[in-house]
Amino acid sequence: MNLIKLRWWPWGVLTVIALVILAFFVLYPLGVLFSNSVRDESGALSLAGFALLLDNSMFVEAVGNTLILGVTVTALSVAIGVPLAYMVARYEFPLKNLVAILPVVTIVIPEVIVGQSWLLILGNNGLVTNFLETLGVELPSFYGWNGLVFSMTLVYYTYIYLGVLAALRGFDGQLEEAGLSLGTPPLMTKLRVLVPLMLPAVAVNALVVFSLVVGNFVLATLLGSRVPLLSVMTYNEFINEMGGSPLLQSAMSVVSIVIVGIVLFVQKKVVERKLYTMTPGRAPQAERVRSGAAVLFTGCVGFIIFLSILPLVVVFIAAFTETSGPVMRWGTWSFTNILRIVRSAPEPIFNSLTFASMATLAGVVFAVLASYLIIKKRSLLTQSLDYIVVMPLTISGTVMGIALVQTFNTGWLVLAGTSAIMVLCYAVRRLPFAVRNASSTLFNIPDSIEEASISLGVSPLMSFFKVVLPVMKASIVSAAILMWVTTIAELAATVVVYTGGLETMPIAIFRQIDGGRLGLASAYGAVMITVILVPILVSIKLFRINLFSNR
Amino acid sequence: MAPRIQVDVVSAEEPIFSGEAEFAVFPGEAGELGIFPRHAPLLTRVKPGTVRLKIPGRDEFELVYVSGGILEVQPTLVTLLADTAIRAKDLDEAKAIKARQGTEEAARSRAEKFNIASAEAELAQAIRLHAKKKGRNTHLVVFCIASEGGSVASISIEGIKKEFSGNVVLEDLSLHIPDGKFYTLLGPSGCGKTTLLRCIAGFYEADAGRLLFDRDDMTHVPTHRRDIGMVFQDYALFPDKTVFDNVAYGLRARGVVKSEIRQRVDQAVKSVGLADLAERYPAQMSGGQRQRVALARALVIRPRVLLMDEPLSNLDAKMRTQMRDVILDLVQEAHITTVFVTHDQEEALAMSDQVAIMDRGKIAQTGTPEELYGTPVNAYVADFIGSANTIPVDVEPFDRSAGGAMHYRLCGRRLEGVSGGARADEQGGVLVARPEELSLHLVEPAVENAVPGSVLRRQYLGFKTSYRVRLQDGPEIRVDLSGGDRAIDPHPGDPVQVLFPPHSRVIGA
Amino acid sequence: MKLKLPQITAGVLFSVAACLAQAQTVVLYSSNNTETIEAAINVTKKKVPSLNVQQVTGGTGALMKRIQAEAQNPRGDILWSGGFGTLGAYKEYMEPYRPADLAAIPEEFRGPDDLWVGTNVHLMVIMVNERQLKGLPMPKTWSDFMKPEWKGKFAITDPSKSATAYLLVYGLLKQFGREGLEKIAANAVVTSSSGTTYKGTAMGEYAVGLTIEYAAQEYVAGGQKEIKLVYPSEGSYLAPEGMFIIKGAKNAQAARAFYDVLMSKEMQQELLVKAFRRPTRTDIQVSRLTSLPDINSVKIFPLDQAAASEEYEQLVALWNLAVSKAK
Repeated sequence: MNLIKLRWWPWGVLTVIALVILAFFVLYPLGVLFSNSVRDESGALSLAGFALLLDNSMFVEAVGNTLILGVTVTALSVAIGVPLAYMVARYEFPLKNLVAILPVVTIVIPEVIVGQSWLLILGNNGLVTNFLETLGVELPSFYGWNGLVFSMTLVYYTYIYLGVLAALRGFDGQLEEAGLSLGTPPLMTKLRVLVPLMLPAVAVNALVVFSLVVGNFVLATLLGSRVPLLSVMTYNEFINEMGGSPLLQSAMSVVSIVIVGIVLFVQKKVVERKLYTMTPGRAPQAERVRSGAAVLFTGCVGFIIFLSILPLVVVFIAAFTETSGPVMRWGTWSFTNILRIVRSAPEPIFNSLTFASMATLAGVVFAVLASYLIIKKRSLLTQSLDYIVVMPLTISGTVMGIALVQTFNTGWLVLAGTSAIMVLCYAVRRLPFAVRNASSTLFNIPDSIEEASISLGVSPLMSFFKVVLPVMKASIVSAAILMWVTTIAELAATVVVYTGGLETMPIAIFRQIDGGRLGLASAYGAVMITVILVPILVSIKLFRINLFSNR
Repeated sequence: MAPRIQVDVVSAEEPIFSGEAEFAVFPGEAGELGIFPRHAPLLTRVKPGTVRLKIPGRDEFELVYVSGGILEVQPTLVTLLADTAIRAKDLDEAKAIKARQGTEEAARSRAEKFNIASAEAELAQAIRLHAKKKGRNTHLVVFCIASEGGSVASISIEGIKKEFSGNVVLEDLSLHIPDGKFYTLLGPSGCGKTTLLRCIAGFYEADAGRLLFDRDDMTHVPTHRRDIGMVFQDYALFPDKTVFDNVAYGLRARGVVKSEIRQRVDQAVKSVGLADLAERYPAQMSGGQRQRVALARALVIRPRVLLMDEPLSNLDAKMRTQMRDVILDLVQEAHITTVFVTHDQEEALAMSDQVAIMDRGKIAQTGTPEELYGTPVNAYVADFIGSANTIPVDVEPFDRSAGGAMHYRLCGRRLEGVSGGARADEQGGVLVARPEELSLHLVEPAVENAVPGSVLRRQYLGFKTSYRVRLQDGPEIRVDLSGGDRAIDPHPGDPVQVLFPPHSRVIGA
Repeated sequence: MKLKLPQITAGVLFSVAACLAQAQTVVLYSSNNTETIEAAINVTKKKVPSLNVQQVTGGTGALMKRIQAEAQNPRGDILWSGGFGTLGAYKEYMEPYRPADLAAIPEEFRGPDDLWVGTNVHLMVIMVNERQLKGLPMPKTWSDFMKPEWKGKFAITDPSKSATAYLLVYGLLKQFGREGLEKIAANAVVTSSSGTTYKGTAMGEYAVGLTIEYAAQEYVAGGQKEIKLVYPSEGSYLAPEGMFIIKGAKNAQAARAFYDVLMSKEMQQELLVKAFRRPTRTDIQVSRLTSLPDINSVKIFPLDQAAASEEYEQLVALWNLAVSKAK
């Protein structure tokens, strides 16, 4: 790895430019946030903010609740994800192929839709709740811990599932065979050989899920109700302090960052140490399963898939259900909701499309450049690029939004109130996905084809355009789609940052839910899902692009 | 007077210039013609592509303008200009004009030290100044024309040093590769041969030393301006382009006209035996086929040198031997200087005009395959090329003027041998005895120049039988006896005498 | 008479010009929900067809801050609606205007110096979810909630988070004094927004919510049979909301036209029927048009709106103290 001697043109210059841009839009706001957290009213350095937080019993309770929620959801996700992955990896049974859509589902269905849909089904006035009441069964309230744990588990289990599945698929079956040949019975073998090797994969993903739960805003707000949670408190504090001193919101944000930071640290130091490198081998063949067990497996997998897809279906049903103010008249159909949003309030749709397009365009260009620099032009500078790009993944949307608002609301560069800040939110938060996607292809592009092009008389810069980009085509498209899909659904940061006139669809949904208008919220939801699904279906059917080879 | 010729210059269908142009003609290497523009804007306005030159009394003909004034010309043009303009008288006139154009001359001679691209820039600048000074509108239309097969270069490596993160891979390495030769860099992995090749290619910039193509200093020239052709171990074909597009890639980058590209690519593809596969994609081809495409691609641009980085290592044994012939045929037909890197000594011996064996960043020995095989200078080389028994022996003092004949002691016997390599002396030497040069005899009767031993193992290989023999009070050695040429066929445990031919070489330790 | 092309073109151009000259845009800043604004725009289209309303929605607080930020270069023309208390703090951003129809609005619902006028008045009520009562008696008035059996069973919005909640708490203070307020604070579940209170009650999260009449009525009218509206026998509180023209508005003329429309009888009637907003006008009979009672048949505990907005800081502090004491 060449530490400093990067040829300055063109890649050296581009690296510096990329770093400057990233530092300005990612590091600088975080710096402002930190700085605001350690100043008091007069501007002097002090830990007064943190002291106030520690004093506030509700805050302490919120932190506690958040951690408990994190652990609970993580545990349940593991409980669902691991067996599911094992079933899919090792057995053949009917319906198994349907499982392939699970990764699509996680990415495509925005959290706000998930929360809203489950409310529509299991909320106190929900479809299933009402139905069960007629049968005399009374469901416990979906608000609060029940709803939080239920919906978050359903959203996050896929991370565990995908991670363990990949590990199982890369598992060298010969290891198990070796164990068997040494005389241990099958179950024992599995436990003794498989489990220790799978543990790191589970642990890594579990930590990811934990940090996601800690930073979760959308489901926490929608369903949290009386349960104090860190992200909701932070958001409310931000609203409170608008126009005033951003002390408490900054302090809370910092606490949030620290918690996730500790988790990441544990992951790097403890878990990744134990990651065994396995020579890729042939995974054992999937066993066909006999009828009794087949029913069980199909049933389990089918049920989980059903639960994951349900929100989609519910949203569409609700969008076309007649409403009377805040009351849903299930069973009566009407176009009123859709018409209303399209005729009277279509701005969120246009805004979403515009902002997402701009962010996707900028993001993909930047991602292609950045991933090229990181993978192909390794140096200290490009490795820092890698770290900074990925940083927003670890920071919750709420905190990122607060940091951006604090930085760009005043001062020499005011972006607040402009579409620029919305696009910025999107780009900064979702860039890591695009970069990861582009990077994975680049790994597989040998250096030699670039060198071949250069040797044939084409300059390194032109070689990049003529040789590397064409080969990356598929991955560029899938990175673009990934970015598009995830930016459209972004809520936590933009809900902090937006001002009147800049509402996007998720924000509109959020506000309609707040106003009790689930019909209208679902109408926006239906439009949003359509806008998300269409590019995915087109790319898969038309271009045969595999979006999910490397998540 | 220099010949003044009515010239219309049309570039990319756009008329650039029409008028009388002075042709100053400079003889270059092997029939090169140089004509320089006095009106520099002409140079910058000409776009890469086809430029048509109309010379009265002759048919219109096309030049292909690439960039910086370097052009490639079709065979017809060379002949044409050759018989219109180049006569001794005109040459002198041209030189006289040159003499008057001081700045241009200075630039030109300076340009000779540098690479071509910067020469053009310098020249253009000098001409601009000159034109400003003179304020005249006469035009000299200049095109540097490289004729066919004249641009092959020799490579001179002078004192190259290359290190990576403190690890010195090449140290003070000097080598001269004559033009037109097939030159192999041979050695085990880690010896620096690939590093050296990549320095020649320009992927690595040397930390010290110089690299020259003919007289052009290439040390700091970026790879894409070196005019090289390169073939990679993994073929490095562009996966999204057809065979045709792969081969045409370099030509397109040079702005060659479409029709000429078509013609040259077809011919190149045919010459590697893939005539019907031009529309295939690399993924649909076998390793051998891909390597042929890579060869065609590298050669079609007529580079100054051809560099090959272990191109056959990824192929299976049968394909490898086949490809050796393909490569040699093509390379010889093009008369191109070829630098070939391999770790396979058999390949090196079979293909090369000359070989350089490398050992940990230094050149152990250079020479023809026969020289390396027959007279290795040290044990490393001897052991690497072919197989050899290298046995430490005591050297008896001998008279060096007596043509190298000497005696040495092995296992208590006094044997006759030949001194090879400068350092065999009383301090000790190493006997290099190739297994196929030794022979086995029964213990009785005693034979001259032989050492007793016993057979440890016998391996029948068809065309030869290989024996592992332990010399009495000495080391184990290998002896190969070929099928028909054997006196005996001992088996493990049998006592034998091993005959060391008197021309066996003893080299420095 | 045959129309030739030049004449046709001229005619077209002239009509277009005429239309353009007539069509006016007004930029509305509003905290009202989609359906309410839609209803308003529909009425506007009938009354003043040439008026084109562009809406920017948001919470009242956020919109006021925006108006403040844009003071040098206002982008909005009119704000509808904000609680009188909130409006009081932003007088310097208002353009006075006396609409022709002002007589229909009683004195108490007018702003000072023609700065604003009330468009609707909220009534604070007790919203009950019968299914969640579970043994508790149907509440009749505010004092019921001071009783120990109501601890943790009813919701009230944080007064610092909502203008109507503020007036409710202010009213409770004035009516029952500090002690009474503290008892209620001790028993209440405090929510962070009005929406949470009434939605929560409708969804069965709380048995009772102390909230705004129109919000509760939406559920009743929507057919949720378990929701009941109770007008406290001790007296309810009024929270008027108003609109104003933004100082320096670019489309001042259009703003005034819209102002007139918003306070017209047709408008207030439509909003009453569609969104259950009590009109400020005296010429509308609520009980005839809806199932809601007329204002004079409801017991009102009168509040001084001006005083209420002046005592903001103290009240919020008092409330926070009361709530923390209860923990």
